[in-house]
Amino acid sequence: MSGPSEEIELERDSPEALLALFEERGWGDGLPLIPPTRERVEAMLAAGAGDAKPDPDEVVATLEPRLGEATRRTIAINAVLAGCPPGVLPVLVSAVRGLARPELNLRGVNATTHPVAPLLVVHGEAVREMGFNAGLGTFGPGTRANATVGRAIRLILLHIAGARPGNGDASTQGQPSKYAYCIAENEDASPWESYPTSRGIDAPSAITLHCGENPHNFHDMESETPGPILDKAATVMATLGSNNAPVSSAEFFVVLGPEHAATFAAAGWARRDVQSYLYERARFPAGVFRGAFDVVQYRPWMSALRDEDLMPITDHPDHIRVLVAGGAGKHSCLIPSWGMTKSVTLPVEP
Amino acid sequence: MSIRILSPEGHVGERRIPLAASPEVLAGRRLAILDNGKPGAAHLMERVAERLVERAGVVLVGVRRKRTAATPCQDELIEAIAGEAELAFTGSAD
Repeated sequence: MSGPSEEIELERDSPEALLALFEERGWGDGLPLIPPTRERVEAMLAAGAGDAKPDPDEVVATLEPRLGEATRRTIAINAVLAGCPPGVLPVLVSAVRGLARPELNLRGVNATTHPVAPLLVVHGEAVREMGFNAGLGTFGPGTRANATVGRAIRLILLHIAGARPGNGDASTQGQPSKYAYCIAENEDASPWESYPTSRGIDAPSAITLHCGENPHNFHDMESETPGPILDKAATVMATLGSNNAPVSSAEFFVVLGPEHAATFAAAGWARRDVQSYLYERARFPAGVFRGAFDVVQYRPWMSALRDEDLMPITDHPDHIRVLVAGGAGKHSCLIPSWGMTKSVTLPVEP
Repeated sequence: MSIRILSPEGHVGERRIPLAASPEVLAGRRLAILDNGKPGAAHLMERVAERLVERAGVVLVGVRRKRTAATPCQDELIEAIAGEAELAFTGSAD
């Protein structure tokens, strides 16, 4: 249980006064906000409670580095601030549970100088029921659920986890996805089982968190077979400038546009074939890696490779995670990780 | 017209591991260095340790290295340092 949230009186009920208060207190993301009045917060809690009616002041998770206690109420306050539509609270609560999982390493994610931001992927029935856009332009802009739920995650990190730039968030440059980073899996357009099912999660709705860089686009307008498309993807993966290069256990997320995915399926490729092919193709000679880094986190077998041997940029095909999102067009993207973090997939639960 | 809003911060939880009190006298105390792997970290801490050895009579018992700066230190390393030293240096950043 956590105590009641502090109530603050604002002399004028105006967007400018609210923004000024937030600036004064070192809060907010710099954009206009919806005032989190008690009435709005109660409405957000009620819309997301379902039949279970969970305790709004129960601590859902403690978020680092501030050790802030995230309750459903404080999550709802940030959801109101972000402009979230009613009903999305279970997605946010589940995402907060994911942020606190030790393998995600939130303290490191928030404290590093790398620009990393948690990407939230929404799966299953929640996509349609809550109005997420899994199709054309899923990364945004233009859909309230994607934009505001992504923004609410960032506000939760700023306010509850204490990830303020310069004090809790040491990112050298930041990145645009630190404002909002939320997409939905396009299961209708995917030729394969849903991503959560492939990870052993059996639930009507689920979320995935992957702490990574902004999306790196790759396009192929011409190819009618998988190889040439994925050869291009492999060149985006095999780059010495990414944190994945010195950390062989780091994950890549490959977000395939439906048309590229359809090309793979037409050739009889399963998701694991895409993973295996990229594992084989995203490589440098081992000597190139060795020449680039003094400090590395590689599996022991990689040390046995000769300088001229082609060494994969990840030590296992399963570190390459594949899902389908987006709409028409011959574009896909790749999202390298921060490195010392693992993605998390959890069922959506209130 | 005024308006009342709720704070978005939430309460701060308790630290699971409280910090130990620093010794008042350094002379004769055993010091270990935990290099977190950041460039220059060991160099910086070893130079500071040398000064403490010279000026305050601290005894440097060893330098150990974390697997990576980005994740918590391995338990066995912490136990080893706790067994051999009363003070430890760590935590250099970029």
